[in-house]
Amino acid sequence: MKKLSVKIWMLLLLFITITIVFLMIFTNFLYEELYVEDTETSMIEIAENLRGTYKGGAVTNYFIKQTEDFNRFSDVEVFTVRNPKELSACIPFDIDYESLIGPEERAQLIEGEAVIKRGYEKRFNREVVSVIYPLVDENRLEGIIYVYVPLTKITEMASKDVIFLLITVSLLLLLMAWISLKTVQKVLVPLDKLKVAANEMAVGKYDTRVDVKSTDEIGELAKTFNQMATSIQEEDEKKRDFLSIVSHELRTPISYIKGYGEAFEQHLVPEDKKKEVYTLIVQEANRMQKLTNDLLTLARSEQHQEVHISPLVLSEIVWEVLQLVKTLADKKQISFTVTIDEDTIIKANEQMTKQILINILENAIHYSPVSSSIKIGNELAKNDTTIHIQDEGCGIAPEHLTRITERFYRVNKARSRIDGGTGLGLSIASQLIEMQKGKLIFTSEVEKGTTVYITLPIWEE
Amino acid sequence: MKKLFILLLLCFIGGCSEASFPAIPSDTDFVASLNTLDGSIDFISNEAKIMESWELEEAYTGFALATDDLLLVYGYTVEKAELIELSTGKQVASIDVGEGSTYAYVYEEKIYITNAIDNTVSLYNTKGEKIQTQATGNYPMAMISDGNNLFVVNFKDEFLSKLSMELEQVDEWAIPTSSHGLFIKDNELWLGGHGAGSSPNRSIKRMNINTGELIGEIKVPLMPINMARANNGHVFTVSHGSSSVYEISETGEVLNSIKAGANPFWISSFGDSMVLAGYDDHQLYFIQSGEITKKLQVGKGPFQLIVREIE
Repeated sequence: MKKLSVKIWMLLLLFITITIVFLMIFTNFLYEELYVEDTETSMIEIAENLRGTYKGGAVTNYFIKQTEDFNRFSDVEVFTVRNPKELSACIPFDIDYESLIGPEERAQLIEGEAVIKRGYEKRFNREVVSVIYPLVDENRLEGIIYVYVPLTKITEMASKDVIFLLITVSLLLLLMAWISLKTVQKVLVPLDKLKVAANEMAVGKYDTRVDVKSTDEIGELAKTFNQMATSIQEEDEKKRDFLSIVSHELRTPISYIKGYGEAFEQHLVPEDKKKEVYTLIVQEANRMQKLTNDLLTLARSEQHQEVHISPLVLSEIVWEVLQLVKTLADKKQISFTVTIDEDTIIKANEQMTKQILINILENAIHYSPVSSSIKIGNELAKNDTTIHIQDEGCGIAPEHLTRITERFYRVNKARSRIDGGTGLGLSIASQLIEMQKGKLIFTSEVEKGTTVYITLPIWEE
Repeated sequence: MKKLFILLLLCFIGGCSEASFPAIPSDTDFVASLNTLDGSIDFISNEAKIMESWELEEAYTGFALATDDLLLVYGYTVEKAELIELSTGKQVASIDVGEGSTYAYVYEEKIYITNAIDNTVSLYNTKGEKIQTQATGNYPMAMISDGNNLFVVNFKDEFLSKLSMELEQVDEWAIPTSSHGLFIKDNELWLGGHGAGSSPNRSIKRMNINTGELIGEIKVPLMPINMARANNGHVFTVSHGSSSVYEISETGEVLNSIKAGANPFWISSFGDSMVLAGYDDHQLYFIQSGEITKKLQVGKGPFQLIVREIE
């Protein structure tokens, strides 16, 4: 397979060659034309000057001698003819003689017009340019002045210059070839760079970037390529982070369980501590279970499965969820203030909506101080309703606010273990809301509290 | 009425084959010029006015009077020669001469036509019936007769054919090629021509009409090719190479010359004038006593003249 650059270059070269060759032929033609024309002009001048000395009547010997004398010093051939046979005077008769001029030329000459012609002339047995001037007295063609130059002589003269032209053109052609090659290379180098970069990407080197500075289409392509590479790299990093976090999160409870297990095996646990250690083992196992459940939920939600949507009475859902989180809230003596509109019917999946609310509320409870209150209400809009859940917790700093739905993202990494969360709750909530064509917005003020806005479509009959 | 209509229709469909020309009254004198370049015949009265013009449909290159009222036209490329009655303008007979007709000569209602493709001369009667044919030299053309013999010039050959009036071979006389223009003066046969090869002929040859012996030459440069006897007995010759007309005495001396016409090929005596046809300038020149008395524009390329004078 030939390289694109070679193909384009060959094409360019072909075009250039065709153009130059055509131009050369054309120039040569024009040049010869001009040369011949120039010769014709001087021949006409000669013929006119000679004719100027014709005084009418029969063409005299003196006149013929004068032409002969002129011919001796001229670089064109000149002669005067007065023989009627040569002048086709016997036209109606089928004379056995090849005259110098034909019947049409004779007619033209009788009218006083000059005959200028190019071509093969039998009389001279060669290609000539000839100018014939009539010597007319009244209506009588008394004679002609015949001036001619062999065409070869003219083309010979022109061909000297043609060699020069040929050399110039060849040099020009070489120069053009070189310039076009360089240009094509310059244009196509970025493409080559892109190819190399794409290859590197293919083998997993996601930090590869293309260095193309042009602003043309190829430059645009390179820019897009770089953007794509950045995205892939980011995704890759997220994946790595996710995996390392997951393994880390799983490793911690496993190492606890393993530690306690070994302690049991070697009878290092005193009898009175055993109950406490069992509780710890169960707690760590629960944490692992919760984590794997969350991961499963997340993985499912990312598969974009078909969601079963049905009309749901919002207040019922909220009350059911509050029952579920009641034990957790009671531990911290947290009270709920609910102002949910009883008539709001949302268009959502029941399980998903419950999961969303549980995750948000658990989060709110976690970060709320003891004996605080969490307000739950909703506002109706034309097509949807926005549920807001407001706590009086520690709040989230603005730099974290945009990232809290990322998987395993924690505002305070040190506290994670103690909090008992998996770091996937908000991520799952966000994913599920998106699947139901809803919106999730956080507003927060540090030390004052956070408000979560969940917008879901309402059921319309 | 209906029959007439059908007749007219048939005439249109078939294309009237019988060409009809404007009639020339049989009691008028005229000189007629055959203009070969535009294919027409102009009939000119003795007042030097064009009486009638005929537009010809074929490329006729020559014509002759078969009788006072019967005009013969022929052409080198035309297969049929036509006999046209002048007083009615109607074609009365057609002669199947084939291509190659170069010249026609009439002697006492005997029509002789040369053919330069077959290289023959044929004798026809005024009804257009062929009577006799005789082979000649290469390219027979100019003809003349003294009543006893027919002299045929072979244009591209080096001899003249002397035939009987019934076209029997009599003799052959050496002449130059490209000879043209015959005239009989007493016992002499005068012969003009263009000249062989590249050199133009400058003279008329005088030959003994019985023996063909060269008696002398009359210098009338260049290219004398036609001669005519004037009322005063003098002979006028036209030399087309120099566009000159020479007046020659009865003894064969050049009396005077005049430049007239552009490349004239024919001269005829008509009334008191000599009429000259200028081929290149398309004019007829009326000459009296060595002076041009009138010029008349005719059709293009007047090549030949015929004269009819009712006595």
